[in-house]
Amino acid sequence: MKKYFVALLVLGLLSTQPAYAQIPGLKDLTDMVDKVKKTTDDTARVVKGVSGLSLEEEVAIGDAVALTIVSNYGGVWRDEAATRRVNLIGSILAQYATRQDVQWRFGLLDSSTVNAFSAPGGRIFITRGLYDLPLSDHELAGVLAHEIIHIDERHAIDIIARGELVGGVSSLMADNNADFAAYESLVGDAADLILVKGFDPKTEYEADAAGRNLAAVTGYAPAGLRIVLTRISTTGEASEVSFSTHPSSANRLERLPDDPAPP
Amino acid sequence: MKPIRRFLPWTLAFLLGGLLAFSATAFEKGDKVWSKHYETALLAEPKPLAATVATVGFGVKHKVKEVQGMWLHIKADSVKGGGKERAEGWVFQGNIASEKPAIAPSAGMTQLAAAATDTVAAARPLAPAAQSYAERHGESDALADIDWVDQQAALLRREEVLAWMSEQQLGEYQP
Repeated sequence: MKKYFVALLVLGLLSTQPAYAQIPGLKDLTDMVDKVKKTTDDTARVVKGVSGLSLEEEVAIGDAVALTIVSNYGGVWRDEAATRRVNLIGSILAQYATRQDVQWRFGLLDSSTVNAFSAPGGRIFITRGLYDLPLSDHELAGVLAHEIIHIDERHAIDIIARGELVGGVSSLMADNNADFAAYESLVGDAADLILVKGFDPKTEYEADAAGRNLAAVTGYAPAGLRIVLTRISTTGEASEVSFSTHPSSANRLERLPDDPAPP
Repeated sequence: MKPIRRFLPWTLAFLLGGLLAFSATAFEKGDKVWSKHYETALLAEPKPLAATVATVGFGVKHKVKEVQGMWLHIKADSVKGGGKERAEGWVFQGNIASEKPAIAPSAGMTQLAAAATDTVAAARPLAPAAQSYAERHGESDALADIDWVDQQAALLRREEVLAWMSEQQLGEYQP
């Protein structure tokens, strides 16, 4: 706080720099101001990294990640009835999520692969291949609840917020012509995490467990996700590419309770 | 005896796992809970259509006084300034949090904005930074696709969702 105050005070003095241009020692003072300003900027960056990005920053990154997801997975599958169904079940689940600061949107991707993605800020996608398994409401709820938890727990955005370039997003929010490079880098990191690397297994298992609980509180069978994973692991249909950004279905099943199937 | 001994640890582990999974959602008398919505109605009875006896804002700490199935009778843990009667009533457990929620719903980007338009998801265009990103990367098709998803989401009306929940016995409407 003190540093900000000093920086503001000295910056205020500098705004009148022409009048003091000939004052001896001004160069040293300017250098000191630059040093203080850099320190405050760095401090702000660290604070951001610890406390996380703001919702607006999260949405700015997440929306661009959503664009990347859509363009990498065949575009959006524009089936109105199916999209309405995922939004209906998704929004019912989301109202019992912890985070009520985000707007949840659910869409389908025109891809035959079996996968689901969540972009920071509230956008969730599942592929046509997964939707068309087909999924009962309980199973669909199990899949969507898992993805909701990734956003609810800020899994992606907390990883991104630890990076060095977080300050770039802040400046972009304030000035549209600001640091595109930093923003692009953050979006690239987030897209790489969500679309290529995936979360670490521990995070995925946590999302499985918490998603199961969210589905159960909402009134869907807690076994929903388990049934989907069992079907994928037993049918053997393209099991290597199913949920390719997640741990193996067998490992996930080992950690999920053996809940009874819904009637 | 041998088979029993062999499977006993696994059986115990399974039961313990089930118990832990159950306890993740189970609340008990005396637990601390927090309101997580912009406004949470506390009801006179543990029923979705019961009269509202009090409304609490975001992040208010409460103590659980009684549990009936998935409904909790809660009472505000403390009131700043003291002297004022503390709000209490019934709430569905999905509407409160077991940990203090970190981020308050903020104006313009929340379900609150959606409520004003009576839809589940208020019309929010893609973030300006992401729109610029789409232009820079030639992602006009993806941009149009996401616009379409947003339009579809905005068509879903709150009353339709509530009717579906009631019909399907979901959330507060569970028997």
